[in-house]
Amino acid sequence: MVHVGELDHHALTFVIRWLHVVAMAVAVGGALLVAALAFAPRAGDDGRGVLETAARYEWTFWVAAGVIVMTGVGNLGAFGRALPPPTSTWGATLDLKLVAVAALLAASLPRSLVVAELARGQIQTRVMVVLRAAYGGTATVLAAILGLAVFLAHG
Amino acid sequence: MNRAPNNSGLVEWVLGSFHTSALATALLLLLYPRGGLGDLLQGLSTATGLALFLALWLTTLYSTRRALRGLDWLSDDPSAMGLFFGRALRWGALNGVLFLLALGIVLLASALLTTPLSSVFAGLGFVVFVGVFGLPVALVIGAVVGVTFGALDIAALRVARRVVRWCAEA
Repeated sequence: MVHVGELDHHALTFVIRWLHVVAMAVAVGGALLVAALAFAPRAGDDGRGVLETAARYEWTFWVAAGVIVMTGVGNLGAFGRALPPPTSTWGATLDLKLVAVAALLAASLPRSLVVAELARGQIQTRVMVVLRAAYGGTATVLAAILGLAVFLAHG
Repeated sequence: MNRAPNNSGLVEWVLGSFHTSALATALLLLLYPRGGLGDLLQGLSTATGLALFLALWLTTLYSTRRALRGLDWLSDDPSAMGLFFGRALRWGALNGVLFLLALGIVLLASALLTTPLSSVFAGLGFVVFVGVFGLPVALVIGAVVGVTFGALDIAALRVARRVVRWCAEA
């Protein structure tokens, strides 16, 4: 017999996990899209099109980042007292993932500010170089975090 | 020259969201290796935790928006940087108080939904006590966090400024 409160708790836990995965998919997919556009821009695009997409991604990225952190805490809370200790392999992986997330957030701040400023003004000659490096790097770090997350979920 | 779609508010959104996410991540990085994070989270219901995070996000976005109002964030002028730190201190402190208020409201709402009314009234005195004595603590913690993030923001702004200028060269 399943109580209503229990069902709600399970439903909420499921929704939190779902949101965590969706937010990560949005962050990774968006970074890959902007990186792909920067490496292979459409014909006739002087960089303005990629920059517009990048600026839109920045709004979305920080929604995703907030949701990932918020639901990440929720996922840890679901473990309760059963949360594996930091001395375990799982704990060491979680520590590594947290450091990677902190590094991603710290590196994303100047990236977002650069895009915000570049999107305000005229197109500069080196804009594509910057966008390729910024979004290629973001996608790489996100892929590494995703690998750690897969280990934590199934390892 | 063509301009991008309206991106006004993007810098405030980026900084406010960065402060919230980075603060929560830093707390996890501090608490988890020491152990006891599971016990701490066990004592907080999932819905309450989510509400507190959203409250912190909202108050931080508001404080960041107010702190940045009228500032030229790409300026080289040292007085602009001084102004930035002053505002980070002031609005950080206010954010601490706003979050304390939100904390009280969320915990009260949670108690009203989950415990008998008589127990809620009994605990109300404790909430007021914590509120009064927590106020100066929230002010100080908020100001310290505000200045710390202000320093990180300035470092990121300097990096951004260099990259933007490098783009304009050649």
